[in-house]
Amino acid sequence: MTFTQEEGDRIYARLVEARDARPEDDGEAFLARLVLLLADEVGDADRVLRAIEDAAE
Amino acid sequence: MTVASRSLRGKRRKITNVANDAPVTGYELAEYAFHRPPEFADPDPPVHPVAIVGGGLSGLALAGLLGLRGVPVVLLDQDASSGAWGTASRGIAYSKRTLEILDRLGVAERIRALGRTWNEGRIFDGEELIEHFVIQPEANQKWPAFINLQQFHTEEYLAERISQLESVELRWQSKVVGVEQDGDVVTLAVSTPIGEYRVRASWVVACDGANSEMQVHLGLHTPLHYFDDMWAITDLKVDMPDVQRTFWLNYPYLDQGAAIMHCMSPGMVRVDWQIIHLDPDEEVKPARVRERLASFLGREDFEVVSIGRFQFKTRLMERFVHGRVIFAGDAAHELPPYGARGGNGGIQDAENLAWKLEAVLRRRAGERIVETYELERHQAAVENIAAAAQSSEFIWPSTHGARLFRDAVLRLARRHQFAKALVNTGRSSKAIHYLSTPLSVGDDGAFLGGIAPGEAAFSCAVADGYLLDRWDGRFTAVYFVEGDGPAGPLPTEAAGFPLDHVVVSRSTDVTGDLFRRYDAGGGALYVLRPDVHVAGRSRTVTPEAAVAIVERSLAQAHALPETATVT
Repeated sequence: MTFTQEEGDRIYARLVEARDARPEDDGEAFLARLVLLLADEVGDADRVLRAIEDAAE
Repeated sequence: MTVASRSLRGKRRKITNVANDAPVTGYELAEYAFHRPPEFADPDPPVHPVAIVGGGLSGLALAGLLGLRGVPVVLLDQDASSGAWGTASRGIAYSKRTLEILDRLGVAERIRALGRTWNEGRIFDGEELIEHFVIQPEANQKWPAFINLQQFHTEEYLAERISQLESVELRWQSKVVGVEQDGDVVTLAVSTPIGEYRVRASWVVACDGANSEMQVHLGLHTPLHYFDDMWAITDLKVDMPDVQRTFWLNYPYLDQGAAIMHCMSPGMVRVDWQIIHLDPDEEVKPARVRERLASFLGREDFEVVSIGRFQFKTRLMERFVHGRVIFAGDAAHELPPYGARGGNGGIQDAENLAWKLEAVLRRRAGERIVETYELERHQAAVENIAAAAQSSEFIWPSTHGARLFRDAVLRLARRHQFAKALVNTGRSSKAIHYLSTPLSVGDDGAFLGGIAPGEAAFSCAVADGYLLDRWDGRFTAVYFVEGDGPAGPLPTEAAGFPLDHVVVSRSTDVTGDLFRRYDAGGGALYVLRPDVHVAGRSRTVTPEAAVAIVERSLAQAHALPETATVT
């Protein structure tokens, strides 16, 4: 894991909080925006494509 | 002979929390006798330095720690035994930090002897194993990460040990029914089998557990937050010597609820399962319990010892200190059991408070120092509650978002290590780093790592035992030296407190761990508080620097406002 357990837990809790704070009809769009932002942060197309395949399994 | 030692008369009584139900055998607990207190019917009773209300883990630990310091203590417990209330839902896991405290109290080796040291566990999603974890034991440590043992055993060991301390008096069957504060004296009305009498004390510590009646007596009302989560909790006698901590999420035979199995003393296992989404009344009936247990264990040769039902909740007092009445343990903060933070937190409350009360009573410090208990242990309670609540939210998500991410983590955890680390079935209790306490003195900026002020000291093996074996409950200057230690007569006190000195050289530090963990290469001075948290540190490795750290630490505490604000 890239993060410490404390960091991972903090990120996880914030993800849940942010998702729950979105209106019902914006939940999926929020996740799509987040994925695109994170893909840009990764900055490595191969790694992003591999993650997409992993998530699809 | 003290009243306490007379009260241990070797009798045991059977406690079962399922009345008149033969299939549940119950525990046999030590039974303690009531003795007529010396001040019964005294119109002008003496003022005890400290009275403790409640003989659970935190109350007994505090009585013991104060007793070791020679502070006279009267402990009042409403029952005739420990563990009589809610036998099934009480703590079982003691963390390393707590074991260090229990070691000082002289009971940790007994806990290790009867309990189960564990460092391995499994987590299932449905019937699929998603994580088999091993908590790697830290090398050269005296105590493991965890030892499991039913709470009443620990309480009995503590009561037995405390009965040997001259300054502690245990009064059983003594129920506090009223509290009055008048200036510097607190008066407790105490109901006993022979009638009511008054106990007067300079300080009262309420350790009367969840649903504290002491709060009611003081007119305090702390709101409860209930989780939408309820569990059946069972202890059973079964021959499973190799049982590991096992957690099931989405257990198919529980309509996707969760369950957990833990080892305890030899031949004893605890199995708990979620019932909030089932029929809670039905789930704790012995016939249903046997059915469930047979499903978990895959066998029927077990004996059910206790059954309980527990709704998870949190309750945190806004303040723990109310005049001369101080709250500790579950009386001050209730939380779900994930991570074993309840009992461990209560014992750590006791350790934090004991030296401060002693300091006030011996006039080494003003009452402001008690406010540091408020600040430090409130921070600990907030952290413990947040961690337990986050585990609870993972195990039984309460929102769409929580379930979405929880299910995503569980699915990814089958193949991805990072997701395994996010599976949160309880983050283990550990020592708190007191972040903004006035007792911490900023260091001189010369440390890149090490143990920061406010953190608990790190102990490990040295040439002749363990570092903290040398600690005697006082402020202690630990000198890490590359050559000779400090020369000349060393000061025996600082700011009116006794001061001990320990020298750690490269030859003392046989493993090299101490110099590494304390970032002590080239020399370092650490000053430990009487509860072994770090007060301050310096690269100036002299007794004068140690004295200066103690003085500054206490001066900062005394400068606290009368009722410090908890942030």
